Amino acid sequence: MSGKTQGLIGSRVPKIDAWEKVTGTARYGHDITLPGMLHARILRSAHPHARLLAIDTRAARRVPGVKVVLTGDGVTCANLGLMQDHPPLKSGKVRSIRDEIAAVAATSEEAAEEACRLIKVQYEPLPAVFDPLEAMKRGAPRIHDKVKGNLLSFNYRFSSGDVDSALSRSAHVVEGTYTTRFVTHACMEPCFALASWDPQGRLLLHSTTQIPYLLQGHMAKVLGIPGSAIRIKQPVIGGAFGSKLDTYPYEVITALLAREAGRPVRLLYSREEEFVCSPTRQPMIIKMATGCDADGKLTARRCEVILDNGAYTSWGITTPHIMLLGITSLYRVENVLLTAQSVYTNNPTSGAFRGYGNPQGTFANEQQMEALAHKAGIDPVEFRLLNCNQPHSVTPQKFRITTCALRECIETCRDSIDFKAPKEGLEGVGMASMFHVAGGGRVYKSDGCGVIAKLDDFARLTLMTGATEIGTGSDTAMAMIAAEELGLPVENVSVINNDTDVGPWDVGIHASRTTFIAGNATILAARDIKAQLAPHAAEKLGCTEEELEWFGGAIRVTGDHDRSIPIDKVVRSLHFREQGKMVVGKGFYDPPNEFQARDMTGNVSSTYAFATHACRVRVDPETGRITVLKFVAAHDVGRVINPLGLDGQIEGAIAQGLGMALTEQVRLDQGRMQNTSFLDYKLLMARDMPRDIELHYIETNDPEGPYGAKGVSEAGIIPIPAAIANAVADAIRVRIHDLPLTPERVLEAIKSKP
Amino acid sequence: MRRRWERGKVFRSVLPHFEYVRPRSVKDAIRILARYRGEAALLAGGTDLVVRMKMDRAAPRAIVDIKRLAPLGGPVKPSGRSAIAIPPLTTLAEIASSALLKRRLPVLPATALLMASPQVRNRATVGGNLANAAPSADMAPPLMALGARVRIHTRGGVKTIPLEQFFTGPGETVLGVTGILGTITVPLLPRGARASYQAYTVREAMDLSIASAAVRVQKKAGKVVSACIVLGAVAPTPLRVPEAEEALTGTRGTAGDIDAAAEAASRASMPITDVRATEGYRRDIVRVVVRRALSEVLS
Ligand SMILES: Cc1cc2nc3c(=O)[nH]c(=O)nc-3n(C[C@H](O)[C@H](O)[C@H](O)COP(=O)(O)OP(=O)(O)OC[C@H]3O[C@@H](n4cnc5c(N)ncnc54)[C@H](O)[C@@H]3O)c2cc1C
Repeated sequence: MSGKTQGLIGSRVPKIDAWEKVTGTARYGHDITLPGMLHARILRSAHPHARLLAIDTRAARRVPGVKVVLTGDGVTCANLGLMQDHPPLKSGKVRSIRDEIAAVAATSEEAAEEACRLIKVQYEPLPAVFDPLEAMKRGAPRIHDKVKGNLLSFNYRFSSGDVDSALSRSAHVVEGTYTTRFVTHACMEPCFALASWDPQGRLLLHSTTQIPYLLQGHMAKVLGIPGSAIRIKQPVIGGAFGSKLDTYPYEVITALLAREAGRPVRLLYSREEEFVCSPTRQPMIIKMATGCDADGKLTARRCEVILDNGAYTSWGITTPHIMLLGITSLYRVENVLLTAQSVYTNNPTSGAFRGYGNPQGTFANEQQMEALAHKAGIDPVEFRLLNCNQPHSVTPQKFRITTCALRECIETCRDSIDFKAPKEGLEGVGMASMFHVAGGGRVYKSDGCGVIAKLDDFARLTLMTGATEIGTGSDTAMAMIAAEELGLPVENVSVINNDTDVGPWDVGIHASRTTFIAGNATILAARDIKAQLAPHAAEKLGCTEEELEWFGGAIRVTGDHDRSIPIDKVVRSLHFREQGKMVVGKGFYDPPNEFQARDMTGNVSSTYAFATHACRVRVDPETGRITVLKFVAAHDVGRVINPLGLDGQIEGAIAQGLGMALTEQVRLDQGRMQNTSFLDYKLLMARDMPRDIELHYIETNDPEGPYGAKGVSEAGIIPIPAAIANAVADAIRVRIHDLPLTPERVLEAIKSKP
Repeated sequence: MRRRWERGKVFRSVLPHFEYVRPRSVKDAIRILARYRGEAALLAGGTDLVVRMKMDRAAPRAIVDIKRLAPLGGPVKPSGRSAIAIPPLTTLAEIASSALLKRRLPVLPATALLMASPQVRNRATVGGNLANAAPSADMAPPLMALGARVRIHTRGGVKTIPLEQFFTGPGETVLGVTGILGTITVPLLPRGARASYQAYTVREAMDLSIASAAVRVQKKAGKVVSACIVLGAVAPTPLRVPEAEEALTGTRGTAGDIDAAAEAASRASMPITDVRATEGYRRDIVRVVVRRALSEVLS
């Protein structure tokens, strides 16, 4: 089917949920109440590592309004987490200060809180360990009884070629150790769960999860009930960034309280609780060496990573999959040896966060590229161009790169940041690129997503899907794609994606996959509808199916627009007749990518995103404070679906990435967070943004992408800490290997200069 | 070994229970404060108090709302010919937009504009900023440097003291349990005098200072004849540094003189290491903010 298209793809379409969000009518978890609903509160540990000897809940139970008090000994449920090391309610032992010891449901928030305060606990404090290097040492306190040396058995190793000999034969080698800290997502909406059980024993869990169907499965396993007895509904989600990629104790606890009470129970975190108890980005210690030959061609790279897992294991343990991919495959290097080891500590549990380890890895990788270029006496931009990846190549990890505009990204940034321009005072320019999954990421066995499209008698198209919208604009992209396919206005499309009873399977929103995967599934579903309508429309219009054009709410004959029929009329003609038909299209898309083998090879994504960022910074020589004067981002996005949404994604990523680079860190003292407010957890603000931000999109029209698009939502944050570090090194002539680049640390570096 | 019972951590989402009282007069308010014997808190804009209550750092039995007490409110206006009277309930937004202050004491509106956000400035009061007595309170150093005096309402009556004598420690003032802060009177700058406030923050907005400095310097015939230098966030209270003032007085205020004063201020400061900065960094920053403030007024 050909003909004129509406040209929606690439046009600036406001998010379809923008109205309700800006007018305050969007219903977030906090806005939902159910009749008879109780309020939950959780009591957490007073110690980072201790044996739990006794819990006295008698006083709590006497508080008027209290309906249920639960402790770990009072419930039977399975553990959570990939290593199944995480009891929803702890008994016997606590391993971090966020550990859940007891939970209360009461008729008011006040009563629940008061009751929690009255619970008394006897602890036997145990020696604790907060540094992964210490935790690995012989004689370190053991955090999980069965885990020797606090080393997770889930570790990573990738090897290709002979790194040692290649490094020893290299003309130039740089080595360094890079460290990154705990940072947190700081979602605008704190965690929420609302559980209710129907009279037949079926659980309805409202959750802001990113993984509705996996959550359904996890809850079934933990609670010991069939998955069919669980329904997950998602309210509007106020930010996730990876922080809702697991099933968490609070979700299980809320369900347990509701079952026990026989009434709905809602749990809301306070802002402080959100800071202390939600997941974090893995801190890493990255030891890296990179070599090149006399001409500047990369020869080898060795990289050993140690990750602070925190006290329990989240899905974030799979982070090295994605982190290592940037290290092996951003630039061409044949000999690579990578290892990653996660270590238990008594720190907060770390998890998934936008970029999935790649910002940390790129921080090391791109600083080494810059340092190595200087050592080899080659211009760093030329050095990158010399080594950058090419379209249609296969990397040592067996990633099959198809479309690739890395060269163009680098050149675009080079041209617009003007590396040669004169500098005033301590001014510097820096660059960093990134490589990321952009065609799904098969970190689970499934990478699929289903869409059911229903076209009704009034030309309203409803897309039912499991693909979750967490603010990225994926709903809008799906609506645009469906509208474009069927020749409908975007306003005619609804997306219903908040109910496991309604939407078909989706593995979850992660790996920048939703617009790519759900977009492809949407195309399939829309084309299914077209195939159903086309014979009838062609018959009515007296033309062949090939001549049909779908445009402006009608189906018409290409080249003869007077012969036209409204699309809803065709639907009605199928309904209002004997032996009528329903118009429902189905699409299921699972990309042609591979689950990596144990040796970490396999084409994990069906296409890859490339990007380069460059910036000009000024450093205050007296305070060490960094001002970003100009920021340029060039992205190979395949094809722009919605420029408005894409700008938002990249600009948002710049804000978040600059925060990670410059100011954000969870400050821990003995595993306790010290800066639990927006005052001291320093997200950057509008006035801290560079005055001058330039965004460039390079369209490579990926053959696998929906309309040629690649996933982009994580890409924007990945190169930022590295680009800033490179610019700062250029400005002050000292290289800083630790994040964040706080004024204090920068001033120290300036002073350390010989 | 005897084990003891401990409580765990519960995060607060709801304010602790309290009684709400609205006094009819300042005297009435003082009586109420006395009745609660230190377990009542005055409420002005609430932007410090309510935050502290939510973070479990304050749990007053009663909240005494002084927002409608006429003697504590009203416009910013001249007091005699050589001073301006600022009622304690004046909001930071009102300070920032007061035409009188912008004309006569522009350092005060400029300071208010550095603080918090427009929403918070609409509620936060200058009296609350001073009475809260945070070492980092931004209004305190410039008011002190300008030689402000504050009226204090107590059980024994009303008295006026220099703002310099108001602060006694972090979160502590001479007000004690029953005192109420009244009008703040700020002398106009004498001829040849200029003032500046420099606060160093990590972010451009919504941030507390790592260190700050307010200066008021008067020059006659090319020489500094008087100087007042007050530091913020580097001591238990806003800190006047006579060592730095002496270093500057009598000089021509050259770059070298400024450096010497900045160095003296840095040495006299008593910063601590906390989650926002280390002691050493704060000392470095004192040097910077004093130098910048002095450079501005002496240029
Ligand atoms: C988001 C945010 C940002 C902020 N940014 C800044 C900033 O940049 N710089 C800064 O200095 N502060 C800042 N603050 C702190 C606060 O806003 C200011 O200190 C404000 O001026 C306090 O005034 P208030 O009227 O809200 O005080 P309240 O909270 O009402 O009172 C504060 C304290 O003073 C007492 N009190 C109030 N009035 C009187 C009186 N007349 N007599 C005796 N006692 C009294 C109260 O009992 C209470 O203990 C910020 C606060 C927030 C929430």
